Amino acid sequence: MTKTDLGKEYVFALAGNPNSGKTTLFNELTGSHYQVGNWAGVTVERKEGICKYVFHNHITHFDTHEHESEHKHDESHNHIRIVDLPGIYSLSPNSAEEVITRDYIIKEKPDLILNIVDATNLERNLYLTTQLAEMETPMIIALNMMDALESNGAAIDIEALEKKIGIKIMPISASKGRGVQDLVTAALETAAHHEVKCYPVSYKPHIEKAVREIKELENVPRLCAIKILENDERLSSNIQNEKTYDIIKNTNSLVTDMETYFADERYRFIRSAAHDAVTKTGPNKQAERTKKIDAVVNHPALAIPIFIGIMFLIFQITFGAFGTMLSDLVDTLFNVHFASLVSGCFERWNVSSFLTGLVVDGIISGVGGVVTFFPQIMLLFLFLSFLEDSGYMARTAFIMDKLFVKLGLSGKSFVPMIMGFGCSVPAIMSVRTLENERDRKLTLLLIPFMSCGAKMPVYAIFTAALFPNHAGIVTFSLYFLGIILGILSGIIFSKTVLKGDIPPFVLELPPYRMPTLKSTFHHMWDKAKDFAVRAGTVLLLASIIIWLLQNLDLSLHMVSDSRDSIIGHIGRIIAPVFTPCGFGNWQAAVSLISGFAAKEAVVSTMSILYGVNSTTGLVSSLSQVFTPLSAYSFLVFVLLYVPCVAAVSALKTELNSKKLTFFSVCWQIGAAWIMSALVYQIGSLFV
Amino acid sequence: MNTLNDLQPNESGIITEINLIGIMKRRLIDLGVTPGTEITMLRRAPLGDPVEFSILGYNLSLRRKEAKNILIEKIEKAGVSND
Repeated sequence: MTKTDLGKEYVFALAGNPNSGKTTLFNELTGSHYQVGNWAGVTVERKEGICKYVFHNHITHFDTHEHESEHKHDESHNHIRIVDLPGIYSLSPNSAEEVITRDYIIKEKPDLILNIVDATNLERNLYLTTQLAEMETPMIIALNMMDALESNGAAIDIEALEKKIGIKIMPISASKGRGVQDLVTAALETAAHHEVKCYPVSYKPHIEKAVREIKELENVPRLCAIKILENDERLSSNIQNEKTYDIIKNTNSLVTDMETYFADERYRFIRSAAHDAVTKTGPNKQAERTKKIDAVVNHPALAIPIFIGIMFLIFQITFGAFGTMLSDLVDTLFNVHFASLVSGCFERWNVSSFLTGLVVDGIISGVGGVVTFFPQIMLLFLFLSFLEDSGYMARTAFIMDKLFVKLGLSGKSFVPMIMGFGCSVPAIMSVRTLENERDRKLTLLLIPFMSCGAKMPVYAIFTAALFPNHAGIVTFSLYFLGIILGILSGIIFSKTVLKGDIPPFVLELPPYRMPTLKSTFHHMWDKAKDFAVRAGTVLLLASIIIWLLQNLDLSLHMVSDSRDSIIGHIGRIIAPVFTPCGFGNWQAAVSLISGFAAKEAVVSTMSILYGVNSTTGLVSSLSQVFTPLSAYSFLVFVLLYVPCVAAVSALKTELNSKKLTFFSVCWQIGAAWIMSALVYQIGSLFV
Repeated sequence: MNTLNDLQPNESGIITEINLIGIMKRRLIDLGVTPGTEITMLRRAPLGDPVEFSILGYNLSLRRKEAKNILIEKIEKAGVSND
């Protein structure tokens, strides 16, 4: 083992195709030591983690995190910073992800590119390898899914492949954790040598000459020189030397289609490498299994019923008896036991009623209202992670694409929108998985119209009060109206604010794989964590503000009747705005304002404002204040206006634009007001 | 001349020309959809579009609109051994 410069923190960039097991390897390497952020200027997730290793008897040991504490004070305990680059197929500037990867390697110069390659999909994966190898950065290949190779009916002669490509190859099985330690050792060795191996693919002599000349003139890595010859827009706009233009002109007159030429040469090289190194040992069981499952799942008549069945089952479990039971459990623990424990302690310590009110009625009940949904959100994510990791999610995009094209969307937007029926926050976060920015933005703008789970309590109380015999149809009509408004908004947005061609649909349908429990849970927790953080920050703040507004008057004194509070004043100022909608009373206005914190708060605020402390009390108050028509118009407003603070903050993160977020909020409130006014005014003509 | 859109399930062809431009063309080329490569049609989506193909040992789906612009030479069935 060569000596690695102690104390130096290496930076390894993890690069590879989507579905190559990159995330699994990242998790294997970093354990839970990672941070998630965004790449500057784009809403592409940036993950960075720390991989720990130790020296022992002059050998590098990859430190598995179980016995991390043993080495805590060990001087030779070193860190590698692992930057997880987005999953990409090439380094052409086709998408934000590909541009990010290229720019990262050029500008931030990692010590090593750790290229993960799916052994069961060798040829397509090696295409990116041939491009990465031209980035002039030390590189190592982690040949993943070696365990699945045998059932794929193939064997790879690693030495032969290594010889052909000229880059160190380490066989691993990331999902089983096999070979990862050797990979780290070999990677450290490669990084320490600063080895930049020869380029695997060679081109025709006169092209080779042009590439070399551009490389010299522009002082760029070989790949960029090639991309300049291909007339890559981003790189071509940055040409420094006049002579480069002449070279491009000359070469382009000899080869008509540069892009195809280079791709051809790469694939020709890959074919010959595969020919040398891969032997077929038997039938491809994985492909056969995928074929069998697809025959059912994509069956012309069965596909849609199966899909609806799966979604129904997920919703039934998540929002039905099982999920509700879990939620009730958390509700009891947090909102009853924890709340009474805190108020008990406060009483004993003689804490002022102001502070007790703020903490118990403000913070605990405010945050508690959302924490209650946590088990359901975890469940929803568990199922969705499973569907994604198993390969089914890609099929739903394939199945639904045709319908979505009609809305100016792509089939890939479908799953996030479905999730919107559960909770807008995770739905908004899941939009990250779409690779096209326009698709992402459009989907984000439509999700708030999908009626989320938190609106259910509002529907329930109003239907009980005013439509006791038609609860089902009224609730259904609201869900339906949300979908219609979403579709209309989609059509309007795709013709105006987000004008542009429908991006082409190119989708890999990965083979079905049984996800491991570990990776599914990891995946689930990855997403659920964001939600937990949000509950602890944004919602905490919002709860405090709303409680203060509700309990203080303009001179900041505690009030006994919330009519005199700041929010009461605001309510009375705003109330006339809702007169055309049929609910111009200040209580309705105030409850709609507190609905910004969380939709369930509409109900709890109304109970406080009408001075009732039971559901039956609220039902009878509502039936006196509202008419069926004004109640329906109120529900329409609740359906369509901004879901909640948490959703808006998620929206802002994902849209990465204050302007667009503001537009979205205005659009939703505008749509809500117009629709509910229409309902009331037109309805008044008939009633 | 046949296009990728003319292939029926389990029929194969050799790609001869890609009549697309810009990002779409580059993306397909990067995914191995290059002249000379064999491609097999697997199935249409339940609503008729998009279409799933097998190329270089993996499965790829494209919309018919784009498939119409990819020219192929059909491989006659007699010459193809299924698996």
